[in-house]
Amino acid sequence: MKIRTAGAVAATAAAALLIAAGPAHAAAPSEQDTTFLKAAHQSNLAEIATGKQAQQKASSQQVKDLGARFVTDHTRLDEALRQVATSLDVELPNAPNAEQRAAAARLDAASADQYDALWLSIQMDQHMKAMANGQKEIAEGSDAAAKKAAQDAAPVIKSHHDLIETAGRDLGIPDLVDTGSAGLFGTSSSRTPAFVLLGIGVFLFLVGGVSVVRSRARR
Amino acid sequence: MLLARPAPAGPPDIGVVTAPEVPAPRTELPAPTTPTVTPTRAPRAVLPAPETTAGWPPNRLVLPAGSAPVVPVAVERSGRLAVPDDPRTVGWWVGGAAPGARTGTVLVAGHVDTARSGPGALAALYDLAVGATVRLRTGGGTVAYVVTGRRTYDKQRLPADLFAADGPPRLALVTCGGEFRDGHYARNVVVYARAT
Repeated sequence: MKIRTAGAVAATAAAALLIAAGPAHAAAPSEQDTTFLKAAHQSNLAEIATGKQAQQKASSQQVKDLGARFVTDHTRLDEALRQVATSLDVELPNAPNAEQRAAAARLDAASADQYDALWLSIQMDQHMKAMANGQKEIAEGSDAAAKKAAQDAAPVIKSHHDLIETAGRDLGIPDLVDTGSAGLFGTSSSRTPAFVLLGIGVFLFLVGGVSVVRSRARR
Repeated sequence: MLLARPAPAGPPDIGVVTAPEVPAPRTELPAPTTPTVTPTRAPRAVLPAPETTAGWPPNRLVLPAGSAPVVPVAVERSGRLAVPDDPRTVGWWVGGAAPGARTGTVLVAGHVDTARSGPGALAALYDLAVGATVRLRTGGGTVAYVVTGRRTYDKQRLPADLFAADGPPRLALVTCGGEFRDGHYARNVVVYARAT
């Protein structure tokens, strides 16, 4: 009997905890809340996957470090997000969206020379989308817990965006921009000295002169 | 005419550039009181407006003559900018400003031509007039620029402010020109455009 009572108390406590984790006035989440939770989760999944890949494939330490940080931060953000989704009975997708998968495929195909720049650019783009997703929830969301998840994630995502911009500079400043190899728009090479051009000119002048003289002679 | 024509060093300079051409003192070390983590850009609001076009990487360059895909590029080990091999694609330097940023130069470079593929998208820089509109498309919208001038520099003497994080918001389009020898041009042709 005592054991059963203890069990009942524990069950009640667990239920209370679950309720506490969710919104106090548990209503059905709005369409905006659901859209936000799904998109934010997919964004976390994409960041975690590309962050892991960067640690293997990036050339620079900056990008490797950034990848590690994104894995840590987005794993943490996603844990909080999944709790909210569970409490609201929102089923989350289990893979990144088509656009994120296309970006991942570009990263898979990138050469070592292209990888770091492409990774930073894709991260910049995806963090901007994540920021916009969160902003929309903060402005238009209904559920307090979902809005709080967006609010808590915003400064983390913003700090990532700033780190991405800094990392781009840290990859190095170019000292040469070499942009042509056919010479279609170039002036003549200095290996064709002026006297050669002069010689060609004199030759053409003489040929022209001879033909004029001949045509006159024929008349 | 064949005899005495002087060799031009690229397309003629036109218009004005939107930043001083005096090179920034790159060799000077920052004052010891300057913490290195402080960004040189103006502080921004923690949360940008959702409709903002700043902070997105460009994905397409639109010139009056046509448009070209933009891919992100960084610096190679040699110090050279890793310009895309295909001259119909241009490269946005990830170390520069992003389109729509309040300060700094957005740097986009492309081959004027390649031995394999012929003329490139940025061959159009030779014909770009002052006042022409140039656009960069991003995931967050389109950012427009107006051409202010064109300059030709010795390749080894590009102005340092092209790569500076500060300065007025502008776009610099970089390609090659001038004397061609051993498969390389001697000079860079730079078109400057200011943010509208």
